[in-house]
Amino acid sequence: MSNMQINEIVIVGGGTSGWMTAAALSNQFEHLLKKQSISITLIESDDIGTVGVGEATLPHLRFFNQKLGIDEREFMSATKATYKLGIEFCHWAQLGDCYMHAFGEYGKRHQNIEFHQWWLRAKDLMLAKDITQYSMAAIAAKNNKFQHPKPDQNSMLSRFNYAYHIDAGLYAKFLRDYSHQRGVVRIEGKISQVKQAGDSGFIQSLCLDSGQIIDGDLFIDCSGFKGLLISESLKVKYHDWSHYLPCDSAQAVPSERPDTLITYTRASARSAGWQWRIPLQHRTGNGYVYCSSFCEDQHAQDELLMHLDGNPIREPIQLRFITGKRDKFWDKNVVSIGLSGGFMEPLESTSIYLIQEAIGNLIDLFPDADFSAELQNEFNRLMDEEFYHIRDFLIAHYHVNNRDDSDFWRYVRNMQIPDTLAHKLSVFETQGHIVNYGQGEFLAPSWLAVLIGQKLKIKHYHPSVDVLDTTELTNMMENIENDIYINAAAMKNHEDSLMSFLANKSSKEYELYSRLRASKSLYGTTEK
Amino acid sequence: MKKVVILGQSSEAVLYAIAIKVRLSCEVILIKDINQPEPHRYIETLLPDTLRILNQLGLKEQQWLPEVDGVYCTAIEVTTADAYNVMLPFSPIGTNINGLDFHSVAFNTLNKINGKEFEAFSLGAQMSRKGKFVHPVNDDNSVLSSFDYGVNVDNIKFAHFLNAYAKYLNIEIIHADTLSFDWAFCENASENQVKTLRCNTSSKDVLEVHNIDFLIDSAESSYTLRADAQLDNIFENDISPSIQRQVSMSVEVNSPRLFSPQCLSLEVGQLFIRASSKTLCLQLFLQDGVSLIDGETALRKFASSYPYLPLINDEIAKGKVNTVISSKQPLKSLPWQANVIKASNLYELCPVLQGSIALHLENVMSFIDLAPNTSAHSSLRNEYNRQFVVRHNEYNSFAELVIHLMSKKQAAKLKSEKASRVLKLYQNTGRYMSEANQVVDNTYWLNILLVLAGSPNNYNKMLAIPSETRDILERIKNIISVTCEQLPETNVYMKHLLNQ
Repeated sequence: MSNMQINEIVIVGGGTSGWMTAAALSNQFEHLLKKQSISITLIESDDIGTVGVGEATLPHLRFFNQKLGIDEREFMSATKATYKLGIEFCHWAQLGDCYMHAFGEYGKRHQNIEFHQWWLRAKDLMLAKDITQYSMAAIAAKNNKFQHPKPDQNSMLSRFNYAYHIDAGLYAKFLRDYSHQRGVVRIEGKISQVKQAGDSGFIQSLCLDSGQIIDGDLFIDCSGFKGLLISESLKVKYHDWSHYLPCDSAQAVPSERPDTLITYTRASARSAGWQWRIPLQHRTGNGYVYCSSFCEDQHAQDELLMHLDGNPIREPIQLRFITGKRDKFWDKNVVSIGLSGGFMEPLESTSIYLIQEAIGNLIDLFPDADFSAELQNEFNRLMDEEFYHIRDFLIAHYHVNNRDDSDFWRYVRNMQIPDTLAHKLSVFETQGHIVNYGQGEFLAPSWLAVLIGQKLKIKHYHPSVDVLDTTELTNMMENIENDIYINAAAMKNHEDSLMSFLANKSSKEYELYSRLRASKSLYGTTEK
Repeated sequence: MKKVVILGQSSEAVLYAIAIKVRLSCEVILIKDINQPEPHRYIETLLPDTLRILNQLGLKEQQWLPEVDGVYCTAIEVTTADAYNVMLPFSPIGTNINGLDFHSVAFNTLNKINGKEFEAFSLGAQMSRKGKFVHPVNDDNSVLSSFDYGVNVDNIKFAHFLNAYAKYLNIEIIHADTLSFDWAFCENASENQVKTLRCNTSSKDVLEVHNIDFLIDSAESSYTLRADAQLDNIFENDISPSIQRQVSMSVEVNSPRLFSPQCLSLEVGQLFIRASSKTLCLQLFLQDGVSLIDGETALRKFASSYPYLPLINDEIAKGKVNTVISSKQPLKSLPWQANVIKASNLYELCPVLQGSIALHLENVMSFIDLAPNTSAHSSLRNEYNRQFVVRHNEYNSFAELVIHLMSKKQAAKLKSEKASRVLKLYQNTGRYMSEANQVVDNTYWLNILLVLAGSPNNYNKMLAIPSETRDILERIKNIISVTCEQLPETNVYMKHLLNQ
């Protein structure tokens, strides 16, 4: 049996991925750091900027923070966070149209049949409203309301979830302090040379500009697009998915915050891509993701600036990227986490989620110094699945559109899509059934929100929902709608809710909810 | 979908009829062959998930349990080729400690821990070992919520109960021999679909059933299946012989000892021993290349020498044992084509965990999920067929892993990528990564590794294991042991329950 424990962990690159990794590992190995039987070193340079431009997240981030024992109030205060109940997509299906992908379920299952099947029939009979009316999160978001969910399964207030809009740079700083307190050593410097073992190709040490040599057993590459170790040293190839997701550029700019603090990210389709708007406490993050083959950079910048809700705070910055993923996320003794492993545009706020999944998988599959091939293979398999599932979901946003106002939208509507997605769309179109390929994001309510929102026409509902007569069906729809309406009306305004929470006036429900969630296994176990 | 015709008399055919009637409320006609002999008797284990689905279909346990000689069970007893005997419980072994997997904690604290020792941390395993039973309670803080249960049933009596329930639901049941089908071009779907069925009733009248929307062909003699005989197998990692053979023996007895379902690895194949409250049944699934005669000889030899089955030996002496030999060909085409699902001749994939009903019921519920509301349903059909192949491949993978571990032929290479991957990961690193949407539950995958794959070569030694963990583990073991002692004997509990 191997007793060769990994002693030296080296994280290359700070930023969100680097410090999330450092924080999670320092939490996981706090007992070993105290005994000094392990070291965690993070190398970053203040001269190298990070991509972080303000970040919208998924609800999973809350569980990450809870696992680290981070107080929500402290975190929100430090990162200038606001609550997020979903994403509003404007002009995607057609110009002038908007829909909400909210965090939570639609309605309630009835007679063991999914709500949306009842809704499809009710809609056929003109007895139902837009599906958004049956989502607690969507109605709260549209009315700019917020409260923490309740644990009582019978309440509509248990049927939604929430995430945050954060300043990713501040989050990295917050986690840097967290990691320092647990013994992570930060080294300022640029890496000038990477030394690999001649026979195995394993990385042995990193040489900094200053001449300092950093030895390590396990190297975690959080160096961003560059992939300093995984790409430049180990030459792990990159799978380019730009034939499916052709956007390759972005411009980002912060602006002054407007008076009203909304509870959702807004993703507005533009002529050759889409524009994000992320509301923070102190400013709004904005950016335009576009395809350079269809749009000049200057035009993109003009379009971005034209659609800001407040005055820009600084000049826009330009980013270039290639959507895709590494052939292997983990090779030899290097694990790539964050942009070094792959990139998918932030349309569904998956960047931090993917970092979190990689960290969770690394902790579950943490190796000994023998770097068992089985652990690597399993890690790579799990990350592949995540990337493939998210890729298909993102493609669906583009492909299912009815816009005819620009070449870009015509191109993405007619482009070839993966077989897995084509099958999924075809089954959904026939009868509203959502194909489930296995684990990974996103779950059925998300697909439902986007495919219905994108106006994919469903030809039939499931035959089982014919059992209710029209009166029963009407009552069912009205009861759910009223229940949601009453609960949303009783919620506080988003900004009031946020400010009173930050001022330490939390509700008993939230305390209970937090305790319940914290008692569940989040990572570091096989339960996910 | 207004009218569905189902051919066949197996439990699967009747389950299709019941599920369609209950969930889709359409007209269902069940056509049973006139001269089809009653299927051979065996004892089936309905697993916890199967019980839950039956419950959803209105088949409440308390209604059918007395009718089918049901006996509760909480684990399967597994005996390997080298006579290692261990319980495979239906629920997780142990419990997470400080958010850490139980098995990882156990490896770190107890170092080498074998399957037998893991048993001590499962109330379900202990209950099975000691012949105890109560229903679990719905309280996460109680150890009595930590197990799950299945029921052993007499397959023929269960089929009779299902028939009675089908009649109660006003499903039309016709005894007739199928003569022919009429296919007609369906413009909506741009394909030929079955529209009319012609059959001979017991009074020799020709009956025609018109306007069929969907046909489910589950008849043993079905000729829609005969055409498949020359096709290649559709499964990626098929481990079953091209024709699956089994020899089974059932003995009616007055009061057998109530024991857990058992699975043993013999030279000639896998032997299953199951008991209802009135019948003992031995089913031997033969390995490829073993003749039926050799199988029957081996089964009789086993029955006469197995010391724990004295009743069988007595009955053999009295000549009351029925031996049945059956063989099934695997389905060789995708099951749903046009408006027909071929639902018969699915071999049983060496049912280590499940009898055929569990697998059939999965197929039935998959159809219910995808039941078409239109005749143009090619995408739903593709999805049903995809799920079918995924489901069977996973059952195959699991079965292959279990047989591999039971036969102790460690050098043999596993055909299934999944079985191989899961086993290697566990053996070399002590990990099992749960997967969402598993057909065979994660609990079974992990449990079979814990109880049969032995201590891993390595495990995660960097976990923060609290110093008092050894005491905690001892306490868990004691609570389980003391609780189990206090539980009633299964037969006492069942008598009490049935008297109520």
